[in-house]
Amino acid sequence: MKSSTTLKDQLPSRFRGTIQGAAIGSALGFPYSGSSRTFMRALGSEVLQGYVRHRNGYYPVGQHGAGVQMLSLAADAISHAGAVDPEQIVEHWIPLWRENRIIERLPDVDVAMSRWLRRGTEARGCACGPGENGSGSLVSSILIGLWDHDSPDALVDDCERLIGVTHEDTEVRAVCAALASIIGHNLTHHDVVLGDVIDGATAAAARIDTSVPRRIQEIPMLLAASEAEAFEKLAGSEEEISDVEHSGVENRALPIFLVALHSWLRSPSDPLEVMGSCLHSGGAVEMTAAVGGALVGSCVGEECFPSRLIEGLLERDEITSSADRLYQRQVQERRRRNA
Amino acid sequence: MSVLLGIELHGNCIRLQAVDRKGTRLALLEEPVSVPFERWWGTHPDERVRSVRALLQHALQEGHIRPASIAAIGFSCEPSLVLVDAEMEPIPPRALDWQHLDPSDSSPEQVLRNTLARFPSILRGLHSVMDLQDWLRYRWTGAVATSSTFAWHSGLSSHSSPAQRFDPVALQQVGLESGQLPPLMPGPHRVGTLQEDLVTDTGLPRGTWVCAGTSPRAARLWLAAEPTPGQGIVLLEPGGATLWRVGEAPDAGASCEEVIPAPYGDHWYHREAIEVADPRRGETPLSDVVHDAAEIDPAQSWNPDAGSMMVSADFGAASRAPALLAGVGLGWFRDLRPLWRKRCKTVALEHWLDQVAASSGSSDMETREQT
Repeated sequence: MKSSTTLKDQLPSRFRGTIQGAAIGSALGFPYSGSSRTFMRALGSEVLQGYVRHRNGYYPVGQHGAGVQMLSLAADAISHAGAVDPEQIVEHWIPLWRENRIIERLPDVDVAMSRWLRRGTEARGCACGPGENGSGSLVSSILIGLWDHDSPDALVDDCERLIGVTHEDTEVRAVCAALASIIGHNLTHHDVVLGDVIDGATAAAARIDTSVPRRIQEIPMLLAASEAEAFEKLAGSEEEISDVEHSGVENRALPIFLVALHSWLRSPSDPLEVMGSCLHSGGAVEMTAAVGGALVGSCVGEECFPSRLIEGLLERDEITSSADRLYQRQVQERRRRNA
Repeated sequence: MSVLLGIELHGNCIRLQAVDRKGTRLALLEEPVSVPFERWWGTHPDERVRSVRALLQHALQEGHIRPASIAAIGFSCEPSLVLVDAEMEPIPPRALDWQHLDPSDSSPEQVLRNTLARFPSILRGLHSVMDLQDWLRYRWTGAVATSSTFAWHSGLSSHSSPAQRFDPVALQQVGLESGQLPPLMPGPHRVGTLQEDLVTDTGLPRGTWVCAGTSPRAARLWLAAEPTPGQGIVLLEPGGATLWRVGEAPDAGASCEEVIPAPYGDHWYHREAIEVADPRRGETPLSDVVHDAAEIDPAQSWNPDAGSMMVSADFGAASRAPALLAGVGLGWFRDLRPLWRKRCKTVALEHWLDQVAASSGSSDMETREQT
């Protein structure tokens, strides 16, 4: 993908594209969250036609999931503090639980946030422990890719700060660092170079965990394999036998990330193709499509998303403003650093 | 139920051993870990709990150990520190900035003092202070207790009876109350029985005892030779050969590096010399001492003068002490002397070499992938 404008000119659009992409993917998948892979594949291209009402009828059309709700608030916290400050992030997130405004229950994040709520923001270590490898905080980590795209040395440490609010599990932390590094790579490169993307993600994850880098390195080989074969390998677990072919992606950070990354690498500049592939994977479709949307959005910017999807998004203005504020504060901080 | 299980958390791996009543090793499994146990501050305690449980389940599922035969579980673990909050969850090391600790200044005593000085607010909601084996035991049994090893290495034990009880003055100095320290048990003592979920998952018998535990070095020294006063033991470690001698309780001000309590706390091991004659380098070994080593290079050649060199029963192998200490806790070995004189007696190096030659080719050890 080549562009006539410079990367610097494209940055505001890519910031918006990343966050809007996550929100669009989440909103497309939210009504179908938990649906089987068989069901999602049967829907075909219908899932991309537009937003539909959630089956329980309580949510308006275009509603995104709780992951994007947290993403938007974390973006505000970073913009406000001018840094990735866990205390600020907790302060921005806590009202969601205190006032019961969280859109849906995220079991892993709920545990951690309930502790923060009980003990206050000055407490140390309320994150859920090793073994809790849910995907609740996965989408928030894209903010680190945006914030640290020009300072990769700080990326993993900042990601640890953000994800450390809710998760101690090394697998989750490594996955989030890998996702952030890919977003950062997309913001600093015109083209997607497979080797660079995989190497960057592997290096970031390897600072935290040993098994996640191995799984990421499998992806290039699976790009040539059939979609079904690749899906089975990426969504399946090394330790457990599960029926992913029917049930879809488990609600764990690692398979969600691997499936979304694979979907994006197959068509890096086609948002509908990427999100369609993520939605057809079934299971945790909301989170998978959100990650896929963020990856493609960071690569192509907001212009490449169909306008009907951007306009139909609930709280579109708030989401866009969050992205803009984050971009402006990032520029401000960069100038301050360079001064 | 005639088998004892010993779990050693030391160096770069977790070792699991099954030992029978006679002290015969029935199985030995090792699993490397990505962060060595000496760098205890680099890993969440529950990550270690998961790794140990995974190895235990692997051993039982693969048939290396028959679950129904297990009578008790013993531990040995590198001295470490776990701060437990009011909800009985460990405070994550990263939340205490332990990832930036200087390895040269990372004794549990120093880290405890520095952490409580830096984050005094955690004292309010602190339930207890313990070490990793105490945490592992709590997760498995629900019983909160600590061992004399932790009391000694935390620097909180009293000068009058070191490692036997905590010193209220020392506790006060760091801001702790006596209620924030778990009950103190000698290493072999039974602390609790396995919780129902572990029994269901593993098939281990209900009522399997878990003992207090000790440090890997204390465990090795304990089994290496009968602890008669003045008995010398040379530990051959990767860094060199050090001479330890059985003695009385230390004076006030003795460092944790130089003196370590025996598992029962009835005697102490004093480091007499750091660099002594190392027979691995061809030097003439010290006389009247027992040599012990966890690992010996199979290609190691020995000085012919080493003919009179005495080596421990576990020379060149993982120590059976954690498992046997569990047996002591069960009361299996009321008189300990036969343990050193008969079951795990010291032998001359030639005899050990003959044994190694005879047993080469048959190994009961398995190593799993790194966790």
